[in-house]
Amino acid sequence: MFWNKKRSAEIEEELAAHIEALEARFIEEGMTPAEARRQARIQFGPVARIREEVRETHTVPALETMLREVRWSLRALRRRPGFAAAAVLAIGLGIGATASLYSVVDAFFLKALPLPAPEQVVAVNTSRNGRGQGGNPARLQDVGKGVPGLSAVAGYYSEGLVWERGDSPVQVRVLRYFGDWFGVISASPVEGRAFTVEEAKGADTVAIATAAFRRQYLGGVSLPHMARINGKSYQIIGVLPDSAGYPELIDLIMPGPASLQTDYRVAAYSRDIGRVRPGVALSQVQAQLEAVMAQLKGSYPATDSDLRMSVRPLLEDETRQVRGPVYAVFGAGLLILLIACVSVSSLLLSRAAERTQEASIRLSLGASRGALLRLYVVEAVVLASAGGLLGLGLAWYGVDWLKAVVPADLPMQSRIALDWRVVRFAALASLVAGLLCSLSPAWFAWRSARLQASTRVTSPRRARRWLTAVEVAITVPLLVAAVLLLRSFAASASTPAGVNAEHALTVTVDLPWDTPAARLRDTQARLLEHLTQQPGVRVAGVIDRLPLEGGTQARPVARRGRPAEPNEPRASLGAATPTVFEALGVPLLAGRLFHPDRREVVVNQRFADVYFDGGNPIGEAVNIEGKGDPPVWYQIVGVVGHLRETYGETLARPQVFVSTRFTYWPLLRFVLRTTENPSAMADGVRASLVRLDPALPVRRIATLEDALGRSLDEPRTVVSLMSGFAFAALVLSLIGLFGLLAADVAQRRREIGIRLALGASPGEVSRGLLRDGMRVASAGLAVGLVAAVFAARGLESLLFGVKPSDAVSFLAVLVVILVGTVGAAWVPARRASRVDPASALRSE
Amino acid sequence: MPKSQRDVLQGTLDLLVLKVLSREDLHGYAIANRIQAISDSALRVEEGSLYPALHRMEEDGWVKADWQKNDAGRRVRVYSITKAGLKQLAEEERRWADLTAAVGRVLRYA
Repeated sequence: MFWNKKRSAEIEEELAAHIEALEARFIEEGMTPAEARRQARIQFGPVARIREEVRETHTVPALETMLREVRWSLRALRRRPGFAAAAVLAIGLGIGATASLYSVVDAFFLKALPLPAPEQVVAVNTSRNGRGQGGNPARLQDVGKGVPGLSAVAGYYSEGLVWERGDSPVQVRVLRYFGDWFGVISASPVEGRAFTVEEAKGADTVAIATAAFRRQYLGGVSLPHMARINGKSYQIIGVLPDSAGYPELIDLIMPGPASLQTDYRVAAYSRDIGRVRPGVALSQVQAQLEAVMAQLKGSYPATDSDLRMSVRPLLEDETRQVRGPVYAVFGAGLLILLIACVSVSSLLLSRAAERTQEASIRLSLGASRGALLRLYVVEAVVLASAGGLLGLGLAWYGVDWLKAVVPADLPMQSRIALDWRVVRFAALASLVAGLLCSLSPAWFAWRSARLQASTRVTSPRRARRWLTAVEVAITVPLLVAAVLLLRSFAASASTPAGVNAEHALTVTVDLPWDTPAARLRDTQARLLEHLTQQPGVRVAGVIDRLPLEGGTQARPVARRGRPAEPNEPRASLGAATPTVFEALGVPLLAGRLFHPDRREVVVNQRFADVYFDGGNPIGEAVNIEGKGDPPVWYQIVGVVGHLRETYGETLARPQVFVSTRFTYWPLLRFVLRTTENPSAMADGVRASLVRLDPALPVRRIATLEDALGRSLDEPRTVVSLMSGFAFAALVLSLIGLFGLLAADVAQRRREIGIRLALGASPGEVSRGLLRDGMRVASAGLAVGLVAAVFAARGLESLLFGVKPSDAVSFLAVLVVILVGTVGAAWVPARRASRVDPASALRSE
Repeated sequence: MPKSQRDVLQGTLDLLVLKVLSREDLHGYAIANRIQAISDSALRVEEGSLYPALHRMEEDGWVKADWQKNDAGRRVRVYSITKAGLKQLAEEERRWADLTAAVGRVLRYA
């Protein structure tokens, strides 16, 4: 090796200098040069041997020594297969969990967006009175003109359409954009051509394919390619490069419909994004945006006056709703790895204690203290590397499982993968874990070496007690978090959705957003009639959003003579057909349902409480359009049961339902109350819809029960991961406690024997041991509970119906730890009380 | 475990070298000369022990070495003591004192 060569040359030179100095002195003393040289050589001694000896003091950092030490460790570990297996398994599980979760963290927050210069792309969000809402093409145009810090702005929405491809229709996700889409994503077709300026104004005849779509469906096809989509003909004129991968899972890009491009300013549905000019700070863009908004307030007081717009890095914005749960679970995974490290550290520590003799021998044979420490570090790193490999193997399954349970409709979900970034993380985590594991044994070895304890075996008991207390301290916040989340989940899952989920089937049809209102009404009526006539269907209805689907529109409510007040709660506006209430099983509490063609509404009890002070609202008139001139009055004709809107709903919101005739919402949810098992009917219903209209964009057919359950998917995943981790932590720390006490009993057999012989009762002995275990556990418990208070506060956004300071949860954890401690101490305590004094004293 | 445990003579060599270096930075030949001169030639340092000891102490971080030109223009490796070396020196001096005291007691009372 180069390093060795250089070192050898230096040693050579140093020794030669010494010999020359001797020579010089001998010459000075009067010898002839030849004699002086001979004498210098004699006095110096065997140069070659000295050189070798000097060299040997230095070979340490060389790779060969490392390899030798790794081999030693492997050999030593082979002699203790049980110990090695336990350590590798513990670290492997920890690495497996963290590496799997890292793939999710990476997908959501760390991997750059698949766009050129992704750090320049921002979300441009609009909110009204603090509530987020979609963007509007006309307003976006004003923003594009008025904010010089943004080089391009664009809005988009996506919809599912059906491509009539021969006999097998294909569902395609189509992105419709407004503004300078290709400027924002900074990409242009690599094949074919871009949209012309004329086409971009809303031509409904052309489309550009994404690279993935081209690969999957248009292999070997020359452009432009004709495709029939939802009954219309389109030319696919170009293909985007792979580098333009935002948003995910898009097949085709089309200009936003002309009718929407000049839409009334109150419409709010697009997702707006922009590209910041290089070198311009986000705060500058924000300031410019606010200046534009101030102007717009003056120009359009009716629509733009309580609006606020803000920019945020796009990736952060896309994934902000999963930030809390993902980081909470990842943090829990890291804690598990930490506990695993502490456990392994404790095992290594006992091994180090057993090996103090071996260590002293090595030292007296000339090993340096550094070399000895390195041996412990190498051993721990070898263990952790093996654990890391095992962990990667587990992550192979873990990532697959996570891909399946992390809801697919979350943005960036499709980026979850076991890639080289995850492997790199696992490698780094294993190395850190190894170093962490080696800390306490290395420290112990260092100290006992200093004590020159060649004869006395120092006990690492104190250190092991500390480590065990640390394990308990880490376990407590995990347990508290898990219990809080479980209680929150239970509270939420037991909150009724307000429907009768049995014997109901839902059919979700997402019509394109540019469907003309008249056609939307026709299609809805035709489908409703068709579905109602299906065998086994008692009644069918349409609603704009299913219970727990979320995303309801909040509207201010004005009563006659009482305009809506800004600090008053807003009501959720739903659009439905009157039949949907029976189909869903929502009870009519008073009055009657609205007539589909009349301006009538039904409300829930909370609506009556909020806006009519709990009085009878029937017969009253309300304006729910959110715009005033001239007011459109709807008469309240009935009161219905509450329909739960979201997973985290803790307080029912005022709700008002209006006939679908008076709203425009092309995402239709048909609800069918059936006489038979609804899941058995799904296929038949789907087939009949395909027969009716092959181009119908049916997104999903599911039982109402499944549709409701979907909203619980994400919290269920979080809860199950958290509980799993907390359970693993509990088991690990109780095993640690058990190991500590068992080792204690084994070591103190003689002492216990003497005490028993001197008249101590077995009960006293085992109580003493139990007390000891309790002391260790309560030290961990005390620290852990303090940490848990902070952990719980961090979880606040994930908790519904449970306070972070929930006493029941904390108390439950306290009891679990104490009972667990007694359990862990039980066997060692019994063993201690059964020590036979005679044999204990005779042994050793 | 300090090196003095390994063999008394070698351990003493460490002590002597560290002591000499605590006064002045020196190269190997000068260290040997200095010890010999101060001890009135009672202690002669074997080159065969000196260089391994110097390099080992360098590895342990007690001394550090630096190439410098001597008066004759020859490149020599000059050693200086480090903070850790000073600590080690204090410890070794104390141990030496303990040892001589113990030996003294044995000689006196045995």
